[in-house]
Amino acid sequence: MKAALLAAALLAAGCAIGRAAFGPAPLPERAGRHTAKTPDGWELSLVRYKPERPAPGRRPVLLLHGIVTNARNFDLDERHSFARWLAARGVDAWTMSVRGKGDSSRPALVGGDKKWDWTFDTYALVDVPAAIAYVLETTGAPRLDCVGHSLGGMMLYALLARGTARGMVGAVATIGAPLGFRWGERFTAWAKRGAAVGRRLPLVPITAPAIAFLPVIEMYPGPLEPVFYNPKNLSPRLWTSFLAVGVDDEPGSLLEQVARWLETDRFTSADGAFDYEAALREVRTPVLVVAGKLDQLGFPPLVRRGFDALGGRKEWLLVAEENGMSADYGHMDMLLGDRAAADVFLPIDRWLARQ
Amino acid sequence: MILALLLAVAPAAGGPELIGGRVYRALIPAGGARVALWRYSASGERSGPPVLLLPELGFDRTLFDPGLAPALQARGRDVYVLEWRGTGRSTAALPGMGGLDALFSGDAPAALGAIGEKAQIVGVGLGGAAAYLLAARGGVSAVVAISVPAAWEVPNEAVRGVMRAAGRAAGSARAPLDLRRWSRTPAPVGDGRRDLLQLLFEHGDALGPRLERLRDGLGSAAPELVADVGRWMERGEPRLVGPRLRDALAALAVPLLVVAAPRDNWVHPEHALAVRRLAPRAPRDEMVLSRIEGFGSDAGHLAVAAPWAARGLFPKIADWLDGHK
Repeated sequence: MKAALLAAALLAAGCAIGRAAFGPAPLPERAGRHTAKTPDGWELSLVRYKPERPAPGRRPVLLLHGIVTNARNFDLDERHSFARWLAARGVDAWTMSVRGKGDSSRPALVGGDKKWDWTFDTYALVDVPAAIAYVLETTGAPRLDCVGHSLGGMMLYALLARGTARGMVGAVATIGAPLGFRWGERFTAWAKRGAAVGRRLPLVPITAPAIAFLPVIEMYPGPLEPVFYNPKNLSPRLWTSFLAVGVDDEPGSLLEQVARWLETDRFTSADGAFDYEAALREVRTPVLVVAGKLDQLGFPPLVRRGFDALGGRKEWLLVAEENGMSADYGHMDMLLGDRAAADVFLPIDRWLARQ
Repeated sequence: MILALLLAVAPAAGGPELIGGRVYRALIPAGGARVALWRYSASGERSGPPVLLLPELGFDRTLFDPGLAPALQARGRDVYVLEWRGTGRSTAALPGMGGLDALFSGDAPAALGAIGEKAQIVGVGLGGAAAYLLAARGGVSAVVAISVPAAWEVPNEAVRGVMRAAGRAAGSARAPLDLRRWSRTPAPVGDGRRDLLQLLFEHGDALGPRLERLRDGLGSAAPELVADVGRWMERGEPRLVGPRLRDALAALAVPLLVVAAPRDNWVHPEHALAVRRLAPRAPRDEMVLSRIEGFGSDAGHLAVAAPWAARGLFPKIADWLDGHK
C-alpha cells in the first residue's frame, strides 16, 4: 500500500514537473482566459481568441476537445492551433476544457466535495451548454457555431439529439467522431479490454503514464503511433509535446458508459434509456461531418454512421489525398498536423462561413 | 452485316483447353459475348467446393494469378476465374450489350452455370457486387467480398473530376473505353505525378512491377458500362433490369466474409461495411486490412495483389472458405 502511494506520488510529481517543463504556451496578446460556471458548481476554463479584425457576419465558434484530452487540442503552439488560425481569419474563437480537464476545476486527490463520478452525459448536457451560454452572454451573439473533435463531436451529437441548445447553435462540425463501436476485430477487442479495465477504476490515470514515458515515446513511437496519427503529418517530437500538456485523466464512470457503447454498439445515455443516434433523425441544425482517411479511432465507417443518422442538412468531408489534401489524415493530425490549416481548418471554416 | 459483326467478335465456344500447369481455359456463351472461364484444377484430392473468383471490372485474371487462384488450388480447390466481357481472353460486348446488366446477369451466371455445382465466390470490387447478386439467387454457399460497395457514392474529388471530364466527352463516347490508356490519365488531384490507376487502385500498397502487369491486363469498357458505373455512384444503387442490389443484400442468407481496406480510393471501407446494415440476415465475418489489425499495410483496393497478401491474406481467406464449406 505504501509502495503504491509512493509510486502514485512520484508519478504525480513527475507529471507536475513535466507539465511545468513544457509549460502552458503563452497565449496570444488578444486572447483571454474566462471561467464559466455549471449549474452543479464546477468551473470550466475557456479561452477566447478575439480577432483583430472581425469578419462581418461570422458567429463565434466554440471548439470542443475529445476524450482524455483538453483544450490544448486546439491550441498547442503558434503553428498548431485551430483557435489562433480561426482568430486570424476574423472569427471569434473559443476553446473550453470540460470538468476535470485542462484548467477547469477537478476533484481534489483527497477530500473535497467533488468526485470523479461523472459520465459522458455530464460533459454533453451540463458542461457544454454552460459554456455555450457563457459565450453567447459574453459576446452578445444570438447563436454560435461548434466544432467538436472525437468525443467532443459526440458531445455535440448528444446535445443536438437532446435539443438542449436548440436555437443557440447555428451550425456544427464534427471531426473524427464515431457513432458506432465496431472497428476491426483486433482493435474492437483492445477497446473492449481497455474499457473493461477502466470501468473498474475510480480514476483512469492517463496524464502521469503519458508524461513518464515521454522520452521513450519520442524515441520509439512504436506500434501505437498509427492509432493516433499518420506520421507523415505529425512528428513524434510534436506528439510528445502535446502529450505533455494536452492529455488528462478520465473517471471510471465515464469508461463505464463507453464500455456499454462497446458492448451494445449503440450510442446511448448513461442509463441506456436514450438513444442519441436514433434522435439525430430529428435534428435540423446543419452539420459537417469530417473523417480522416487513416483515422483508426474515428474509423470512417463509424464516423459515417453519424452522418447517415442525421436528418437535416449535412455534408461529408473525407480528409484524404484523393480529395486534394496533402496526405491521408489520422485522428490527432487533423488538429495538430503540420498542414492541417490548409487541409482541415480551411474547408471547415469555409463550410461554417456558408451556413 | 450483323452476322459479320457476330463472327468478328465471337470466336466459337470450345471445350476447356489445357494451358499448362493444371490450368484450363474455356470460352462460354454469355448473351452478347463469350467470356473466358479459367479453371485451376485442384492439386491432389479436392478438399472442398469449387471457388469462383470474380475480378474487379476491367481487370483480367492476372489480378488472381499469381496470387489467390494458385494459392487456393494448392489447398485442394478447383478454382475458376472469370474474365468479364471486354477483358482478357473474353470477347468484347456487342454494341449495347456491355452494361452492368450484361455483366451481372450474363457473364457471372454463365460462369456459375458452367461450373455446374454449388460454389463459393470471392469477388473484388464490383465483381463482388455480382457475387452478392448471384448468392441471393442461389447456387452459392459462401461469399468473400473484398472491397465491394454495398452502398456507394462518388468516392472522391478525383473520381468526380474524371466524371466531369467524361460528361464533357459523352457526345463522342460511342466506342469502348480503352482502360489501359485511360489508366494513364494523370490523376486530377495531388501533384500530378500519379495516374488514375495509381491513385484509385494502388493507393495504400506499393505494387511495384505488378502494377504494370495489371495495367497490361486492363481491357475495355463499353460506353454503357461507364455510364452505368457513374450512375451507380451518383444514385447509390446500380440500375439493373434484374433484382436490385439492395434487395439482394436484404435477402442474402449465405455466410459472408466482408473485407474492407482503409486506403481504398475506389470503394471506401464505409461503402464496403454498409453491408452491416444492408444484409442483416447473412452471417458475417469481417476483416479490416490495416496494420493495426495485423495486416501488411493499410491496404488499398488491390490488396489481393499486394506483396504481403500471399502470407498475410490468402491463408486467412482459404481458412475462412474451409470453415464454410
